[in-house]
Amino acid sequence: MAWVSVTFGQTDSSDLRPPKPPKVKKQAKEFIPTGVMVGVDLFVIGRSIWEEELSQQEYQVEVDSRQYHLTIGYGIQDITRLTETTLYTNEGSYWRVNAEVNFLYNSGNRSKLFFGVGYGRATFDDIFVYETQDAFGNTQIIDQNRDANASWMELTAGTKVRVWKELYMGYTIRYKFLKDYQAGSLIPHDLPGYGPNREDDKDIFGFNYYLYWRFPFRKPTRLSAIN
Amino acid sequence: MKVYLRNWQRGSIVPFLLGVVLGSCAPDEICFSDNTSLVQLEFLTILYEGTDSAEVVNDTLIFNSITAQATDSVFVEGDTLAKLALPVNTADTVTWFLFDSDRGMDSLQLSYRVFRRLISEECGPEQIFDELNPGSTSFDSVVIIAPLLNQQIVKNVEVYY
Repeated sequence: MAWVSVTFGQTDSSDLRPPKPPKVKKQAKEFIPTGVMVGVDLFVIGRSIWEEELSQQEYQVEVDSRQYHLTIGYGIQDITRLTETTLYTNEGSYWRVNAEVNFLYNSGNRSKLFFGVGYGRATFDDIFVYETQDAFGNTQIIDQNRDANASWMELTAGTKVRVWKELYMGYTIRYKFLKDYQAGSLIPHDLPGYGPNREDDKDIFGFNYYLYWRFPFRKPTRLSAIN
Repeated sequence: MKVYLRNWQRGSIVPFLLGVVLGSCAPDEICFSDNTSLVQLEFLTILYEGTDSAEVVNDTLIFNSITAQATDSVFVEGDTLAKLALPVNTADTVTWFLFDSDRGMDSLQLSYRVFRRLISEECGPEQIFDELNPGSTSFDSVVIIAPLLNQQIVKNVEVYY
């Protein structure tokens, strides 16, 4: 009799547990695209106004899901460095692809605090003109690269803040490393999208400040807005 | 929630201003360079060649003049030397040197690659001469010891006569 009562006791306690919720494919939900952001880099536009030698534009398209983003950037850059004795010009374009993780996906206002990793690649022409004065006389040296290219990796961090309706602003700090370039006898002074090609320090930081407009794939429901 | 959003907006403006400041403060480039257009030559001769007691010795030559093609400059005139530094032609990748010495007339062709870069607008250009190779010569033999022309390197070429 005692055995029967113990058995009944176990059965009763398991019946009291709350029913398990149905399994939802949560991970798949994180990757479903929810919108596209199109942005322009205000920082390089500002630099192009302030620095006479630089002309640069950069645009970015971002496909965002709830937690993950894929960003594709494209830019053009034209630099002219002129002194009394030297002329260096560099003209080219670049693109980069970044995968980012948003750590503010539960904030409810679609603001983003993200970290990511990316790859960048540039194609450019550059030319360097200067004069030498030595035992062989005064000689004007002209050296150039045609269709030279460069690549690098990036670690990124930044924020994107909803300012008004679908208007966002945000910055990206880039740690650029594993730089590589293929060029001829002229060592490029600048790599479009990367920055100065210094021989002494291999890795550099970059900064972008974007203005975005977001195109949502569907209007957020009341529930998804809360989530 | 409103305060939270405003804070993020403030947090976004500050890095922008910080970026403007940092973006205009690139670190200064060091203008000093060890690279040079001077090639360091050493003249050697082999004593008792072909015997067991053969010995390589550093020997002097009496140079009436040392010149090069593409210039009227005379680099050495009336000097007795076993080691010397000669400038290569920065506008070309080959330099022909002509030696008028107590041995008679000799020639030595050296080829190399020239890499050029703008260090910075303040520092100006830098030329790097590397991949030094011997061409035709009237000396017995020429051996490249160090293919990069650099102030820290004391010997680039051994010339045997």
